[in-house]
Amino acid sequence: MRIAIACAALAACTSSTDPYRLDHAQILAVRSEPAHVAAGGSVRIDALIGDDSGAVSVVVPDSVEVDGYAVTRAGDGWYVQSSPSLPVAPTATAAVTIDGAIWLATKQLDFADDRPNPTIAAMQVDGAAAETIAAAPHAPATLAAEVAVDGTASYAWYASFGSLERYRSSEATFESDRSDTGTVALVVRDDQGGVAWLTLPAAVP
Amino acid sequence: MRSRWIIAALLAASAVARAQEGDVVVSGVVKDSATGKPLAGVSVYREETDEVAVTDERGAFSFPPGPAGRWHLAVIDPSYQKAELPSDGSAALDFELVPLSVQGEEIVVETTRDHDSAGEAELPRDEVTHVPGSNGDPLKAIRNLPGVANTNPLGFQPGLVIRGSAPQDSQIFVDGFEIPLLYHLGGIQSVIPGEMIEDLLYQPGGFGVEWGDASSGIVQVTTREGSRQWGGFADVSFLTAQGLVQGPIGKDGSFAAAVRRSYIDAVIPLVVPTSDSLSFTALPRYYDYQLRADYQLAPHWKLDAFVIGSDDDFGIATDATNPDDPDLSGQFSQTTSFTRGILAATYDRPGVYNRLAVSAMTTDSSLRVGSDRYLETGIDSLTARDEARIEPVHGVWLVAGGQAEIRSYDVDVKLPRPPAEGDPDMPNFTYDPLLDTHATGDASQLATWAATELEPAAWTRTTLGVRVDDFRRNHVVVAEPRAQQRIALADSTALLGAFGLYTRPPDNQDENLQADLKPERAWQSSLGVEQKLGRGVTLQTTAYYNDQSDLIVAREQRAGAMASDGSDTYENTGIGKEYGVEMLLKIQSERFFGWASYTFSRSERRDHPDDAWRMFDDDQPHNLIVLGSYKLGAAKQWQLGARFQYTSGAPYTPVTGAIFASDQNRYLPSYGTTNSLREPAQDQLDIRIDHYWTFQRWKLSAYLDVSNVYMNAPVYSYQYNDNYTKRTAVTGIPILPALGVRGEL
Repeated sequence: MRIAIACAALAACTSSTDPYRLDHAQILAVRSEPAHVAAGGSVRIDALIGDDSGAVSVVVPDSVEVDGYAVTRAGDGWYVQSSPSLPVAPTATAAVTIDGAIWLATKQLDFADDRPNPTIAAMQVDGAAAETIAAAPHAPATLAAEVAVDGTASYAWYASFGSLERYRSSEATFESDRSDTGTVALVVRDDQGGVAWLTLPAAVP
Repeated sequence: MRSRWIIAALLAASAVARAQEGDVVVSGVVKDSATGKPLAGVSVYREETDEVAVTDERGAFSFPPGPAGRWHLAVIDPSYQKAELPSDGSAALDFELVPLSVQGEEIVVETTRDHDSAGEAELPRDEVTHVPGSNGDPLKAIRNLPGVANTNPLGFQPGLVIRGSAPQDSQIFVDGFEIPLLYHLGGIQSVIPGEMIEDLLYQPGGFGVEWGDASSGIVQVTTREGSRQWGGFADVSFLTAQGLVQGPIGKDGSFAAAVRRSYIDAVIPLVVPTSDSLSFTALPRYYDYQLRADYQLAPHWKLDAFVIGSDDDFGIATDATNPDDPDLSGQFSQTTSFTRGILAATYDRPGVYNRLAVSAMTTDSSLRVGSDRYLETGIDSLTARDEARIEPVHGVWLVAGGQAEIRSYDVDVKLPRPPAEGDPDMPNFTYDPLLDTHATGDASQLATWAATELEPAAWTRTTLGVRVDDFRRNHVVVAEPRAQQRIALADSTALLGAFGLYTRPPDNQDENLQADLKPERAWQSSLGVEQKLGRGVTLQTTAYYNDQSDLIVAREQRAGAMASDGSDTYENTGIGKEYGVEMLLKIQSERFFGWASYTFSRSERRDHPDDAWRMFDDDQPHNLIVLGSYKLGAAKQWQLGARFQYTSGAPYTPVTGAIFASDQNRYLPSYGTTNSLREPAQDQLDIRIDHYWTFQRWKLSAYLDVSNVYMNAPVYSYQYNDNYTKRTAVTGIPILPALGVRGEL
């Protein structure tokens, strides 16, 4: 009988760049509003994206496909109407054009019950509510948020300049070694498919 | 078994005595040629009558009066080179035996022993411990032989990739039994040091019915008998400190004991500063030990015991989060230990050989990843094995044997499916389906075999046999016919062919959780030529083709649904084919050893009936190795060696895009054709320098072994950024110097 042996290399199989950087085209989140809706209802789908310039924006995807479901486009997103004859937890595939390239994303929908998305009331810098992320050069700033979530939340912080520590925790540390302006974004997910986001300008004078 | 060959060769080499009238007394003295001291307890064999005389305290021996004529006497002692002399009884004989030192001695390699199948090769200890770039590691030395692929030594499942087959398809037997763990800490060093090895016999295919549980190749490791003279060494090297002591057990026995421990755990704190984000919960360390004892009960009866043990420990903790795999974050720890003990009784005389051995083994391992992913295994086994050979008439050998093993296991696992051959990606501990089960039970395996070796004339030998394996846990019985043929075309040229069925049981990693799997099968065929080109120069050329079926493959892709108890993870739908040509040009002389090895090979797989054929993960079309080691100086006080290797790059599966899984906040790659691209070819140069200082009572040596002198780091894989738009090469260690010092008595 041979022993199953893993090795340290297994633990090293992680991404080779900083995932928090807003310096390239990427989809940050796809949202279903509300997170769940009971039979008979519909959900609206939009997306939060980042581009090469570091800008973050909420967009209506170019297309959304949900196997078998009726999908219609409106000005604020794609609407998916529930159907009693189809699976209650279908997967939506959204296509978004960012900087001229098409990016794909998946999002699981839920038509079994009603459940809202989490909410982010405000961001905090060093414990104080803030409208702008402001910090001095070489001065770490602790970022947090006032979040209302039902269940376990996971956090994803992003920044278009400077650096972030603990960017997958409820409190992150932002620091820049030079003067710059840009964006800090936070995406909060719960463990039932709910998602919320908040974007603030950031400045290091 | 090795000694049997030596004795048989010696006895067969002598002429038949002529009977004469009148009795004579043949006697003499056996001495150490270096010290001149008489040697007690040494056995002197008389070929004509199979009598044995044992030397007394004065080194003297004497045979009972016998008929006058020509006597052929041989002295065989594990601490000395063999010696033989003729006698007509007219004068006393003086044997002066040349001692074998602990390190660097020429091991008795039976040049009279013909290979059973094409591609076989032996590595004596002197070569094992001096191959440049191997740091004296036996399994690293084997990697220089034809048919063994040059693969990442620190992979998920390190091992030997022989003739295009997965590591688990080959076996390494130590004194007839497999060991559960080949390497410390996932590949740093093999668990048995070269100094405890008598020799290695590498059989990449076509091996006999005595060996099973391998559908590719095997390596037979014969451990060394201890010397009957007290001796030993202490060695401090780059990674480890080790020592060996050997000596007599009474008048008729000997022992050798070795222990080795790494001191990486002492070095790391000096070079890796601790930090808040990274700390070692258990500094990496390993140790192993071996003990062998031999006792000559009677002229033809011998007892031997061997114990090998190994213990590894490693743990690391970090507060950094893996964003794509949060459950992988936090900690990683691994402990592994095993002990195997073997007790064997051997009856060995010309024409009759039997070895009965029993072995017990206990194994414990623990792997913990993050806060809630783990694998805990405990396996105990008891095995009995008997090998018999008799020569009822001249030129006909009958071979028979059997093996029975029973084991108990306790497996507690909560992990994603382990990586399988052909998987393009590694497991994700957070999002992949989990094996989550606790299994205990007993399993047994039986095997029996029989063969006939026919050697009606010196120029031909035919071996026909069958092995029957009863994999009782899987309720499968397989009969495996095998045949080997050797034909001497001329004094210096032999043609070898082999054909047969070989199986590998479904016991690799989590395959143990699925009882309905069948063993993997391989029909092997090989044809080769061995040619002696001159004194000490041989050339072996081999062509082979292996046809594999019932290969165990994953039923679903990694993210696909599977039972958490592991009962439906795999299926036997895979097939494979491997073919190639191997060449080994070997040169040996008093001061030099070296060889050129070249392998051309292809290895392909098809996992499911509707799939297309693809390259095997470790397919390696070209592998060239040239190495040599030369002893310089009047007293051979310098030894210089170098090794060059060129190999094709390994196949890999290209990433063609990625899709963002919003609920998991990670990108999932999409892949192109499996293993359709290749990493860059690799080439590297290793050097080794040894220097010996000989004093009156002891010897000091120092060595420098440098791998990858010109720092051409091999590419082993690619690592991607979060959205798979950029990649960086994962390379091996660019240069690895190793320095060691040894004192030897």
